[in-house]
This record gives sequence, C-alpha cells and structure tokens, in this order.
Amino acid sequence: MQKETTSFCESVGLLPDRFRTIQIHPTKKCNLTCLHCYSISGPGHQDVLNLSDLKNFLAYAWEQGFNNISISGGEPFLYKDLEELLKFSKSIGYQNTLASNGMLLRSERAKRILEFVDLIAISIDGPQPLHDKIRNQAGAFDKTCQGLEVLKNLNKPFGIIHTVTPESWNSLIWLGEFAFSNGAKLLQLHPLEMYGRALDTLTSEAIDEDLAHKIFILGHYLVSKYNGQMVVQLDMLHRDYLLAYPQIVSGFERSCGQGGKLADLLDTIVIEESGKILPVSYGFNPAYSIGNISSFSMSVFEDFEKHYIPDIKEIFNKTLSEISRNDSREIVNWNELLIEESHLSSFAVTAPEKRR
Amino acid sequence: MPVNDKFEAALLAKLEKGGLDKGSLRKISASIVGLKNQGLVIDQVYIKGQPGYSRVLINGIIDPEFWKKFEPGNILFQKFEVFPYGIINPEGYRFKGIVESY
Repeated sequence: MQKETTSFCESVGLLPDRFRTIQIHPTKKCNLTCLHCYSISGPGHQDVLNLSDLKNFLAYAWEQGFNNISISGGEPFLYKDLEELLKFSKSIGYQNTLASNGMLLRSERAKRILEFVDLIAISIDGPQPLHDKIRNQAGAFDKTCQGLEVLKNLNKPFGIIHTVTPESWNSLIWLGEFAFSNGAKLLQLHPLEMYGRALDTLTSEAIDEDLAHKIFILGHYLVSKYNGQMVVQLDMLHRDYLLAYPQIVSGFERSCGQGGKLADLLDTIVIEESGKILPVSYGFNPAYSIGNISSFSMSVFEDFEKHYIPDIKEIFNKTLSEISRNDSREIVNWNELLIEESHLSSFAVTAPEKRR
Repeated sequence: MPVNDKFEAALLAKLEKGGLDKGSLRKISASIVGLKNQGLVIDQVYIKGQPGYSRVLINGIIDPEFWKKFEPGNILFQKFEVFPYGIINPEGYRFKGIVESY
C-alpha cells in the first residue's frame, strides 16, 4: 500500500487578523476581598487610572496593532470612568471585554456601560457555600445570580470564569450545568495560581500534578459535552501538546512574529493600576516594564522592542526548554511558568536598565 | 437517571476516590492529547483575569460547504493548524493541513 501525503495551505476571505489584547486594571478597589485575588484588591483602595492617560495610550496602542481590551481589577464597575473609557475604546475600534464579580450590574449606569461591552465574564467559585467562602462575603452568590439575570434580560453575551482549586474541582460538572442552564456562551476554567492574596490565604490549596490531571480530564469532558453549545476554555495545556504547538503560547514561534513588532510577539500587555505597562501578564518581572501610561513617548513600543525583546524571547525559550526537560510535569499552566521564569532569569536580576 | 448523569457520577467517583493511579491519569490525559491532535480547534490559554474571548466573539462556526472541497468526507488530518489563533474576522482565516491517505 502506497502512502501519500498531501499538504495544503488555503486562505478564505479577507486577510485574517488576531486578537492583541491590553488587559487594564483601572483600579484595585473592590467590593469583595476574594481569597484567591491575584491583585489583592479590596474596598480600601482609592487609586484609579487617569482616564485621559488611558485614552492617549489606547489611541497609540491601536495604531500599533492592539485591538482588544480586557478590563480586570479590582471590580471594573467601581471605576468611575468605565463608561467613558469603554465608549472611547469602542469608538476607536477595540473589542471590549471585562471580568467582573457580577454583583453591581443592576444599576442604570451598569446597563449603559454594558452597551459598550462585547463579552463580560462573571466569576463563580463554585456552589453557593464555596463561592461565598472564597468571595469572603455571605450572600455574594445570590447577588451574582441577580447580576446574571440582568445579563440574560439584556441578551448580553457572557461567560462564567472559574478559578479551579482543590476544593472546587469536583464541582466542575455542576458548574458546567450552572453555566449552560444560565445561557453562558463561555465557561472558562483557570487553575488557581499562587500569587497575590492566595499566597496568604490559600497556601494549602496549591494544585499538584495528580489534581492537574483530574482537572484536565474533567475540563475536556466538559469541552466535549458542550461542544457546539457553549465554549469551554481550559487554561491548562498538556506538555506534549504545548511542545508540538509552541506557537499557541509564543509569538516568537509564529511566522508573523518574525518582524519583531511588539503586537505580533505578545498576545497581551497589561496596564497595572499604577499606570505601569507590563508585557505578558500581571506579575511579570517589573524590570521589564514597557513604560507608564502617564509618561509614554510615541516610540515606547519601538524602544521596548529594541532593548528588551531579545531578553523576553529568551524567557519564552527558557520556559519552553524547561517544560521540555521536565517530563514529570505533564499538565502545564504556561503563564504561571513564564512569569516564574521572568523572575528567575539571570538577565532579569542584573537590571536590564543598565543595558540601555 | 439520564446516561450523562450516570457517566458523570461514575467519572467523578473514579477521580475523587482514587480509583485512578498516577499512571492511569497520565494515560488518559495523553489520550486526550492524541484526540486533540486530530481536531480542528487549536487550544489557547489566557492569563489570569482575562476572559477567553476569541472563540465566543467570532462565533467560530466554519461554513460546512467549504469542507465539501475535501472529498472523501472523512479525512483524517495528520496535522492541522489554523491561523490566526484568535480570529477576529469570521469571514477570513487561513489554515495549513497535512492529510495522509493510502
């Protein structure tokens, strides 16, 4: 029997694009003090991002190829300028997405804001007792459910976003039912990361290798169960899959990244509540700060590409190499490992500023 | 009890009560990856606090008429990649695939 291999490459329609995201933390102010909060947000915070600075930066970043914003926090609806911000970003052409606890959606202001939101993800930490425990507030679950009713009545696309912990993983099937029966378009499962408040409050809740496999198996069962009805997004990858398709996580492995342009290399940049712009994710080594929205120049991305991209590429490559070397860890939280590597790499601790 | 419920109860019981040792868990996960490698959806991961927007926003349904180009119907893709990884334009995408046939 003769084996025949056919390769093909096809384009359909207009030249495609992809999402390049700016995750914005406009405030750390929150009506909750969740045990797993990576930004350690809470009611005591008062600092907020300056709207005018944000607008200037978003206009610049749009010209540079970014096209999606993702608002996090703190609770986004406690940012007083949220409506104006989303209206502005929409007017430029951005897709607007945000993550919220869903407890503040019943006001007229919230409804106006939602008009400018393409997708909102509501955090649910499990069935009511567990949700209220993690949210550190009795009655939180019920208030969030009231928020879901608002979204349903407005016919607004929404997702359920869940931080998977050793206490919650066996509720994933329940969570799938909950999300689907409420009309969610998305169920997103993100493993607990030992960062922020979790380091103080959930130290015994780290996800070990066996549990990671169990979450991976259950997560993919849900992907299959809701196929074509609700997107189930699992923020964990199998090592074999990641090594076969490194371009999923690394722009340096994609042909579009060869030009060295920031928006082609990094899927996400982050604006912290201080205005600092970081590559990749909240928690990435601040030595690699791109700049600050309050004082950026029109060459801020170009400067970053010139001075830092070789190091960032090295961090991506080292993380991939470590995953390849360590075959005892099969289920991988890529972003957590990448952030770890950004703090470990020798060039990070030798102050990159000096190499400018 | 519907079939799904029975299956789910059994699956949870197996996973929860230690019915699967480390070797079995690894085997099942590896099998899932094997199946995924034949699939059409390329997985993505998102950072903490970031909704997985791309597949929701694009309503990523591909026109079935398009696939009729690839007769016979049941093609087993040895490798299949879709670009970009988050498609913003539902009308346009590019893919590269390798089909092995005998």
